[in-house]
Amino acid sequence: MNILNNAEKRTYGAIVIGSGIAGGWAAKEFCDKGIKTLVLERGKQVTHNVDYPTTLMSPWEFPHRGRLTKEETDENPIISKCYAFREDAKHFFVKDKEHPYVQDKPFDWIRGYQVGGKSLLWARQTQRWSQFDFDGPARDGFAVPWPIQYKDVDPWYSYVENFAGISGNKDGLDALPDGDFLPAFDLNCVETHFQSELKKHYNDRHVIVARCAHLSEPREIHLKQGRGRCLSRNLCQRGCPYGGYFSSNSSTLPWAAQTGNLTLRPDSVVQSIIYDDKKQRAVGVRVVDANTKDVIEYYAKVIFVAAAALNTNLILLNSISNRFPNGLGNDSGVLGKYVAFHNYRASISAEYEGYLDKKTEGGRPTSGYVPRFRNLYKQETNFLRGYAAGMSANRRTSSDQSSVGESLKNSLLNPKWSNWSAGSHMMGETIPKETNYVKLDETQKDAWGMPLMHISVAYDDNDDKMVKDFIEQFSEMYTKSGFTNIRSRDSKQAAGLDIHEMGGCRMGSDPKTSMLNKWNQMHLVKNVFVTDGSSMTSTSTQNPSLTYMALTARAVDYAVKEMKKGNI
Amino acid sequence: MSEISRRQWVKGMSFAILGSVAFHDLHANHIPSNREFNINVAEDEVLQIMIDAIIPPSKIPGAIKLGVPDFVKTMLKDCYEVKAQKSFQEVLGSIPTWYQQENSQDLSKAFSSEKEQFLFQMEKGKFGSDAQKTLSTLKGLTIQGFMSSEYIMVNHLNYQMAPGFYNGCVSIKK
Repeated sequence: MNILNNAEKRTYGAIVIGSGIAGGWAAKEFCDKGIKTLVLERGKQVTHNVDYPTTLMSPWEFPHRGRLTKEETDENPIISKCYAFREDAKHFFVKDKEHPYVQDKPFDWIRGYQVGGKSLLWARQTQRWSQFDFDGPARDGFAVPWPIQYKDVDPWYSYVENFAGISGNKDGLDALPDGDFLPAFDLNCVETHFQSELKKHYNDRHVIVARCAHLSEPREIHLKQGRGRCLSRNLCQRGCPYGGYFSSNSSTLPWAAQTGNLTLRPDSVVQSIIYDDKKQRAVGVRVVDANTKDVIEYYAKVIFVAAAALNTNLILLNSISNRFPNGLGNDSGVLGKYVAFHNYRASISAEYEGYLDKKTEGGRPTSGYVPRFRNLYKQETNFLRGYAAGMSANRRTSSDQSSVGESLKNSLLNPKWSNWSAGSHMMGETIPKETNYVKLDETQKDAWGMPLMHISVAYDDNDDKMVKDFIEQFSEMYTKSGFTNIRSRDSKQAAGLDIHEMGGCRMGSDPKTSMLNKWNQMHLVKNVFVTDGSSMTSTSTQNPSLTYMALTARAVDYAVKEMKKGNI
Repeated sequence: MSEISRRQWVKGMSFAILGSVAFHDLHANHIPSNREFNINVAEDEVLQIMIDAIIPPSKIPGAIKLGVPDFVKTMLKDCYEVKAQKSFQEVLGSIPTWYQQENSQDLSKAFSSEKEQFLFQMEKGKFGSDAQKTLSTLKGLTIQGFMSSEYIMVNHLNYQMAPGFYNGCVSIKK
């Protein structure tokens, strides 16, 4: 290993660690503001369109028609549980053996190490968080109070929604604030039926079409990014040739590159952030080249950490100095703790025997959504917080496959309509706790010299009660709405498979109990900002990516103002 | 060092604007499999006869013409337990004998109706549970390979990769 010289060449205005949804936004915002920005990504380059090898493949071109091989499932027991790890997108997922970690409790850690990170693979659901979510910890007495209110994020939601392109309706619901939306996709007959039945039987339960990061009708700002209308392929996980959905690869990174201010360095494993005891600030980052294993240092005035929730914890815990022997900015001992996630365990399925003369046509990149209704205005159940749920219905055909020969062939080519099928899956808030934590292994290291991470994160009794309530409530809701053959399921899946892990480096007002202030700025190291999922004080029930985007844009705006004032 | 220059990014962008996609050799990334499923010529012949009997040709091409045997062999090679592969191969090897015993004639000379009758017996368990399971696998893969072939998807299932619209409530034409 050698330390390369030419420090000046390796000095930038800002360093952004990670190129996923948060890192991409940080890059765009810094570059737009004229700051020379280095983005470090531990994985390989994935250039929009050029590196989407399967994007235009038809079903019959896949040797296994989408299925994984026996070798792949045997070698990847963890990642194989993820719904999107299939033949068409497997190249965008970290394989189990490539980057091992220690499961002190079962945790399915789903990762995408490449330029764009998981923004290539996400489910593209973009519901705003509400004041009820930011009020949660203070009202219900867990974690620490959020240092921000909904009104602090509201304009930044609008800002990122306009650029990313979010389709949806203005639904006027307290639990799910409206935003700056492109036209919504439609609900179908049976989803609309469920919507009107819920209105009849309840005064607090709604079905809306879920807001999603798809260009239903591109605006000028999207065309400028080189993106086009979503054509409802539902093959998003392969990368979209039209840029129909938002990803770092299709949107923020190429935008940042066009300013001339971006330097993107893939294959760069950030080992630690360098803290200068004399200057009392972070001065740069130490990187291991993923291929050559050379150690290189880069320097900047300000550092944004957006390496994905748990990897951000890993880097900060590994950033040891005389001043911070327990990890960067970690006098409080909070770093790595209070990790939480989303409760995705329960689902329900049903049939509807009406609308037998109707079907759907075409495709849609989203579904129905039932916003949270439990414990919204006040505590009313035996568990804390609540859940939202997906809701979708569809109508398929089936054929009798009992015969063989000509009769089988006729049956296959003349299928019959089945009843409508419908279903919901829960998205529950979990409570961040000190006992849900990550930490570094004291001896074992990976191939790049990084300590292996221990993950000790699990569901608890509150989550079990919530699963039970979801099943009871949704069974009742589907029954009252005239559905039949209602079945519920608790998958008992481990934490992690929701791919919504958050926390470990939480925001808060008090440096004794939190890592970051209300600007996602480290209380104790003012030129380091953390804006990915690790910064979340609590989890809400809503999909978190839109909030990471908004917080990131807001934090860059603040950081640049502070830089101009000479404060950082 | 592999820092990406602005020029390369802009090149990537122009691809996006044109909507074209660069050729990417999937095989370059493909890790060769150590797994094998080597059947001999006689077993292969039986496999073809069975697949042809399950979905025969008519005005519409049958499973053989649509390349289903290659799909079935690829799936067996890559996606099944060694135990299931072995059992599958043994059953293929036994089928001519079973057929001969049942019908006192050679499988290769059988009429469609006779082969269908034989498959029906096999499905009901007349030749044991391994034969039953093998047929179930073979029939499932044959149906999958047939229904996901380009010909069927394009000409009979109206497959569209990019529909570009959604209508959530359309009347079904009688």
